[in-house]
This record gives sequence, C-alpha cells and structure tokens, in this order.
Amino acid sequence: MARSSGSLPRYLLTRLLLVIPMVWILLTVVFILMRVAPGDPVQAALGGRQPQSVINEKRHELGFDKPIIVQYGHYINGVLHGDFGQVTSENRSVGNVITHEGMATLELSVCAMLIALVLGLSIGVIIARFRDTPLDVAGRMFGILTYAAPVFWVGILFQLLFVAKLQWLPSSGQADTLQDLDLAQHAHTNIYLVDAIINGSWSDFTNVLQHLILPSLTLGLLICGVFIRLVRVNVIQTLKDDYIEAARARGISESRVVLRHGFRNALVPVVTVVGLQAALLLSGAVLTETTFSWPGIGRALINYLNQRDYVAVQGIVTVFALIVVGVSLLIDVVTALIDPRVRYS
Amino acid sequence: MTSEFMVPTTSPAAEAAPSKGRRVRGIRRALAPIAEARGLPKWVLFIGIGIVLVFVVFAIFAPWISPYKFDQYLTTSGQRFPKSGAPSGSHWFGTNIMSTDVFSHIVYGARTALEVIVIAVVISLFVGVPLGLFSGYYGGPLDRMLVLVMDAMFAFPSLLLAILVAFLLRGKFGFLGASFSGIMAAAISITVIYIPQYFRVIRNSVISVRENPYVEAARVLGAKPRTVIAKYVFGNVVQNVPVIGTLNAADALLTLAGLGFLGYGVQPTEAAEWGYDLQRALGEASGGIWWTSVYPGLAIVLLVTGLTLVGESLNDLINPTLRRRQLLPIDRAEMAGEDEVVAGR
Repeated sequence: MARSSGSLPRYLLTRLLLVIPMVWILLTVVFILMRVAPGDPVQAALGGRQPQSVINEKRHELGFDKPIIVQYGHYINGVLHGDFGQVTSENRSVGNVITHEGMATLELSVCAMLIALVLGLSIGVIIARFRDTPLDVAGRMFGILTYAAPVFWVGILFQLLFVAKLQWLPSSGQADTLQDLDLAQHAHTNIYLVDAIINGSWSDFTNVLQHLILPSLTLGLLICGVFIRLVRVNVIQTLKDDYIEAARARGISESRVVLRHGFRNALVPVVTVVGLQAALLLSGAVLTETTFSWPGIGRALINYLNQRDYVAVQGIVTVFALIVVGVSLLIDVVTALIDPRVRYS
Repeated sequence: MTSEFMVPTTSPAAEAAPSKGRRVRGIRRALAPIAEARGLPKWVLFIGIGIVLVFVVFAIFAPWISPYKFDQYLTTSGQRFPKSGAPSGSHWFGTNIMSTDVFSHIVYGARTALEVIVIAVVISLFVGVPLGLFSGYYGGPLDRMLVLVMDAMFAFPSLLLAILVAFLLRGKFGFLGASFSGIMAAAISITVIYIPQYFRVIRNSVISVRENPYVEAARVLGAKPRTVIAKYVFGNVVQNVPVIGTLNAADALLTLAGLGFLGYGVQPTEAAEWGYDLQRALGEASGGIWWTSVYPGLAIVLLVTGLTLVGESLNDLINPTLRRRQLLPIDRAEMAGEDEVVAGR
C-alpha cells in the first residue's frame, strides 16, 4: 500500500465514501422488502370494508399508484432531505415518532450501555487478573448466562422479583400517569430524565428513575456479557506482551501492571465493539420495550408491523439503518484517532 | 512453526493423494486438540455436550416423555385443565394461561427449537460457505459487491432483520406466492442473519490461505479452480465452521425465542415454542405467577448455555491463539488476524 494512504484525512475520506454505497444498499433493501410484503398496505391501514374509491384516493395520496421506480426515487429523495414519510395509520410523521418514541429509546439505551460498560469492564479485568481461578470461572459463567438468558425472560424475572414479590418498582411504562402528563406538557427534549431535571421537578425525576431501573438493567445485562468476554480475552492477550514482562521485571505490583499497562491497551478493541453493540442494543431494545411496555421506537415498530403500516415501518427501519451506519462510521473514526495502526492497514 | 499448528487439517503431502484413510487421519488430526485437552476445557466441553444431549433426547422422544400433547387442554375424561394452575402432581410445572401443561411445552419446545436450529444452521452453511469460498478465491468486482451487501446485512440489527423476513414469509399469500410452514419460515428468517457471518469468516480465511505456496503449486500444476478450492483451500478454512456453527446455533435459538416473543415465530397451533410461551406469561408475571415463565426461560437458558459451552470450548481448543500450551512465545503479529473470529462474536 502506498505511503500516502496512511494519512488521517485520507483515511477518513475513504471511510466516508464507503458509507454511501452501504446506506444505498440498506435503503434499497428496505424499500424492496416493503414492496414484496404480503397484503395491501392501504387496505390494511384503512381497515376492513372500504369502498374502492376511498382506497384508490388514499392510494393516490400516498403515491402507491405511481410506478415503482418513481416511488423509489421519491423515497430516496425524501430520506436525503430528512423526510421519512407519514404514518398511515395515525396522523403523524415518522419524524415525529423519532423525536418522541426515539428519545425514550435513547434514554433507555444510554442507561443500558452505561450499566453494561461499568459491569463488563470491571468484571472482565478482574477475571483476567485472576485467570483460571474459581473467580474466573464464575465470571465467565456469568458472562455466558447474561448472553444465554433471553432479554425478555430476564425482564420477566425482574418483574416477578421486584414488582410482584418485593413491590419495590413499577412493572411498566416510562412514568406514572400524573408525571407522564406533567412531563408531556413541559417537554423540552422528550428525554424524560433530562426534562425532569430542566423542570427542576424532584418527584418527576424519582418517578422516571424508578421506571427506568428495571428496563435499563435488563438491557444492560444483555450487553455486558459481550464486554466481559472481550475485555478478558484482550487483557490476557495484552498481558503476554513483552512490555508487560518488562513492567513486571521492574517490580511494579501485579494489580498496577494489569490496570495501567494491560487494561489501557486492551481498551482499543472495546471501543470498536461498543459500536458493534449498537445493533444488538437496537434488537434488545425492541424486546425490552415490549417486555416493560416502554413507549420506545422498537415497540412502535412492532405495533406498526402488526397494523401493516408499511410506510411507518419503512421509515423506522430506515432510521435504524442510518443509526447503525452512523455509529459504525463514528467508531471507525474514533478508532483511527486513538490507534494509528488502523490508518495504515 | 506457527503456520503448522494453525492449519492442523492438512499438509500438502497428505492432501496430494487423498485416499479415505488419509482423510480420516486428517480429521483425526484436526480433532487432536480436543483429545489432548485436559482439565477445565475438557470438562466444559463435556458438560455442554451433556446438556445438549438431554434436549436432543427430549426432542426425539417428545411423545413418550411428555405426559400430555403440547396442545392438549382436556383430560382424557374431557375435563378442562386449570387455567394458570400452580404446579401439582398431575402437572409438574403447572399449567399456563392457555390451560396447557407447561412441562409438555418444555419437552415439545425442544423439538421445535432443534428443528429450527438444524434447518437454519444447515441452510446458512450451504449458502454462506460456498459464497465465501468463491468470493474469497476469485476476488474481483463480484467479491467486492458481495462484501458490501453482506456487511450491510451484518451491520443491521439481527433480530429486526429476522422480524422483517418473518413478516414477509407469513401472511396468507406468503412471499412470492410460496407458502411455508411455521418452522420453515422461522428457520429461513433466522438464516438471513447467519449467512453473512459464515461468508465473512470463510472469505477472510480463504484470502489468507490462497496465498500459500501449496495453493500456488497446485495452480501451477494446472489444477482447475474447482479442484484447488475443493482440495486445498476448503480443508484449511473449514476448521472455523464447527465453532461458528455451534455458537450460531445458540444464537439462533435466542432469535427464535425473540421472534416467538414478538409474535412472529412459530404459530402456537403448529408447535410448542418457548418464546411464545414467555409472551403469554408476560402478563401474569406482575401478578406473581412464576411457573409459566420461569420454566420455559430456564429451558432456553440451559440449551443456549449448553451450545455456547460446546462452541466456546471448541474455540478454546481449536484456536491456537487461545490454547494454553507450554510453548515458546508465539509471533503474535502474525496471528492477530486469525483472532478476529473470536473477537467478533
């Protein structure tokens, strides 16, 4: 490979250009999938018996009577301009779904990711330090269990324990009705936790937090298993390196060697995997939201699928695709910034 | 030294004249690390195999093991089973909200799960591996196109992909007029997720294997591409397949359960499916009815754990970078690429 290709701007540019075909493929696949789907979206959206004229009118209004290639152009053009279409079954745009349900999902995902990172990194480092001891086996078992347990089952177990048995926490929703209304009236970001802080309402804040604990813990546990495995393997690999041996030879304590020398270098792949987890997070969010009736975008997607609202489904899936591509781009850029070797390969 | 135990299946001499005896010897050499395994990894492998075998027995002998049929809700004297009845002598694990026996659902669920897993893994193997082989071996624009499509599919949230495909396959009309049984439809939806994984792993190892001198030698001797791929390349990339296969099987079960939980899996009239049972149990959880959710969930966790243990220990035993041996330090730079298989999942 030529020397010049190693420069950072050039790498970033190449990476950015690669996004275009990726997005295009995803958009096209989504479009095609939605067109070959069984049943008539318009008929499904309007419900059972409607005169043909009404259906035709709606069909015309939505542009379903145009040739498929025109619809495709319309769709791509809309996405490029940030317009993801209208929800057929409700009088709102997909953009509106994103700014409302999307924010609920964001709140849930960010909290879950934080929980996963804290749990995953700490457990991973500890069991790598005590490799092949019972502690290691227990930690790895925990990692496998968090992965093996379906996220909705963990959610149900939490409901059995904390809701039914101990009655500590609420079982579903994002807030109680009263707080929900209050927060909807004084909405700023539509992220309930942030809005409660902006409004300075302590009761809203605690209520929202109580509702947030079980779902985010459930989703966080799902993802932390991946981090445990990854951190463990990477720390162990890094600990085999010569400079670790050198650090030990200099008489630095083992804990310090693991934390300061091993852990830091083992973190680079973790950054990449955080990005890869975005997809897992979205899948997990759909299940977690359904389990806890969390009014997020994943639950909205399932609802619209059940109602056969193809336009809404197409819009939401498009947004998911863009998120995934965007996050992977972001992660590549961050990795290139912190690890020069990536740029040269 | 390194390349020799990274590719344990073949030496060029052994492959040059592949008779049956040699092939058996080749397989035996590939499996040698498992036979040589001592201590923990071996136990982990055996525990995993044991767990899986229990479920295989459940699946095969379901009608004899299970006290009732999975959709049976009447006793032989025509009396209805209790609805959500607690565990008792006649219903060891209680009955669920559909008045069917929970234990019978566990046993018949194993059958559904294994059917779907086997079909899904086999189809994705038969599509993913050849695609990876040819794409990696020939390269060119087709390869680049395939990589782009597969990467896009891989990046997309897997469960959502499965939901979308399941959505397309079901319905009165079915996809393009074809109609599938629930189990087949679920398996195909899951297949879509795993094809890219086999493709990526196989393609990447083909690319490194095809540069080896013995492959070049075969080409120089005038072997046809088909022969080169079948005899020289395939044997050296195939050792990754059992590891990914078992790990994917575990993942496939979770996806199946996720589909079932969201109502896009196997229909309850066709077969017992644990994910669907959990969906029905969700509403009862906050009321404290635990037996309808705990047992099906445990079944999923056990089977997934079993499969994961098998896959993990195969990986530990077969993958030289993870194998612990009394050897001199290994050239890590050369192996870094090989380890991606592990870090990716």
